[in-house]
Amino acid sequence: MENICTCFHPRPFSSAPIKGPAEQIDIPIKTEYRHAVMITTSTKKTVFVTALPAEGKAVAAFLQLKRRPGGVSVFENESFVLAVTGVGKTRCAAVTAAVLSQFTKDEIGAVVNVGIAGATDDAHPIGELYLIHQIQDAAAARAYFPDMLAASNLPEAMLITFDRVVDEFHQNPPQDGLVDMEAAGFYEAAALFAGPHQIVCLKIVSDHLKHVTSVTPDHVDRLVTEAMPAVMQHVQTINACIAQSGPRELNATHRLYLESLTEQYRFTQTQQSMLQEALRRYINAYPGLDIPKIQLEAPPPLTKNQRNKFVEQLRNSWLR
Amino acid sequence: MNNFETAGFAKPYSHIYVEKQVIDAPKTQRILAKFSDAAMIPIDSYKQIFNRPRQQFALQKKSAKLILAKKQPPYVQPFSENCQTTGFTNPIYVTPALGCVYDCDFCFLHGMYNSANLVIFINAEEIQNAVVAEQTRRVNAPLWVSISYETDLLALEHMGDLIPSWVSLAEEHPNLYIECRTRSGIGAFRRIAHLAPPPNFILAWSLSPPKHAERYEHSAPTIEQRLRAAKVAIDAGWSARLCFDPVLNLSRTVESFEQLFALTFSTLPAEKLYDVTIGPFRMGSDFFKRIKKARPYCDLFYTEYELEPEVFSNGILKSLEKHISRERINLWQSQS
Repeated sequence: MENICTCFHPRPFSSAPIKGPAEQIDIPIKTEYRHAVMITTSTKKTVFVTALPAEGKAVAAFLQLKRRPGGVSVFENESFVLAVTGVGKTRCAAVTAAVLSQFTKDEIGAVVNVGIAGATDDAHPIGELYLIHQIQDAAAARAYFPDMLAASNLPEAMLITFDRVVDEFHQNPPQDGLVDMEAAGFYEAAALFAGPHQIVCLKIVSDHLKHVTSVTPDHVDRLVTEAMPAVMQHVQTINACIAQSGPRELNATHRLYLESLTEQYRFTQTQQSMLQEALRRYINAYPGLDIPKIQLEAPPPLTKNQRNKFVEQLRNSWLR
Repeated sequence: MNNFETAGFAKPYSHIYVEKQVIDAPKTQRILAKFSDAAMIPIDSYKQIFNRPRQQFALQKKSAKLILAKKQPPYVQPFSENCQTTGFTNPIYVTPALGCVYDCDFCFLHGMYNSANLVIFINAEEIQNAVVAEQTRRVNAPLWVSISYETDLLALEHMGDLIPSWVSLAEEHPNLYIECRTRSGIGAFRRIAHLAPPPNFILAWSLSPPKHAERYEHSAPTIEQRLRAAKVAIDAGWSARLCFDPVLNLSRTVESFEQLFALTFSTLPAEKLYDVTIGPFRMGSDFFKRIKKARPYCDLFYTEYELEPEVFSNGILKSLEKHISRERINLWQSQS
């Protein structure tokens, strides 16, 4: 092990104070769990969000991510981005929003909050990975519901996000489900950029709100690392579902083609919109087929009538 | 491109969201008992699920969830101008459920709702009381009520006895004309076949030429299945209306409808029908734009969708009149 951060940011459930910024960590490459699942790539970026450095370390190692230069603790490769936010829902929301704002909506795949959580009872065993179907914000009395579209064998649970540490001394301990300090902030920020079908919250039980000091960085690293194959299996199912969603949008090649036509034939704004709409219709009705291109007999510049006729021909060929 | 693959998706109704205020209601419990494998998630309001921003209608269709809720007033609404009044003054509609199990490309629900999930309001009695109050307000004049307006109520019957109380209401109030419009087949009808049918409860089957239905009415029963259901219902004494609606402007539309009429009236004698309705494809412009954006693969939204009045009147309507008298045909006409 090398380049492992020596400062540990205690979990919400411990009574120890939070130390240091999350971005002080470096991520070692660990490969022993990596091949437990076949990781396929997607044209969309899957965005992971963790709170603790130890959680981020495990995710980054599993996905072989490299640290991105800059202030915020972000790791990435071609398919995945990981933001390590630090503890608390405000920091989590701010960093989640900052990272997601760097992408267009078409570039974002699943947005996944993965990390540890405390459990209110022994029915949730330590080390078990849960798919969260409801996130409650204890302070704001709000609830958030990710879509549960993907088939999954993971057990499910409700999660309550608290602003303060929940341990055996908490005045009003929740009666059911899991507790953390970030998920509500994560969801609220993620929902500004992604739909409920893209937002996923996966939590691993680290403690039962007692003896929380036993939750060490090594323990967290091990819990998350061991959960990562199951995490990735679910994330890839979600991404496969997302890939089937919604209409295809024009890509850079399509846009370049339209731009070159516009430059050549001086289409009006209305004509550009008409052609854009027709091309979008074509790529959705006939995915995988080449775009029909019409050769003009007369070279540009065209008369107004010739241009209108050309636009009509082009449009009809895409709307067939 | 239509992709109706559901591999990788959770099975439909894997999760049932229930408003906390109705969890203990007997009707809720009866519905939950039918989905014993589903995860039940308590919620404060159905809008927490149904009205979330950025939902993907097409994705949710592949794994729809059920929401059980309590309908809040207003319980009754006037018809929109896109609906046929069929000779009644100021007809109304109610929404005992929201959303549909079928997935028709031309359905206005895709433009109206963010969500493909289904909502069932379990307080049908309160909605029915509001309907009776509306009729009383109108000094007991005949009142037309559509109960399957933003849903297909008969197709949802397997989820929990949604129709019987409306049939009883029609029986108790002879001046109330209750229409339940559907695209369902014989399986759905059999769930209510044991009820005694009052003449003022009208089952209304929507019919399209088989090729149109196959292309645009995804997951809905075939036309033959709907006709069979209508025939069984009529033979059992139910009032049945046929709705040739929407008439889509496609190639060889007149011929397609001629064939549909021939098939229909060879199965169902015209004299046994309550009546028929017919209307061209129409939709509010906002809904149209939203559906066009969400379903770019569907050619309906990119071609001239308005039928030439000539084609409609002299082609399709004339063809229908060969099978049933003009007086028994309700024709949708634009209010504007």
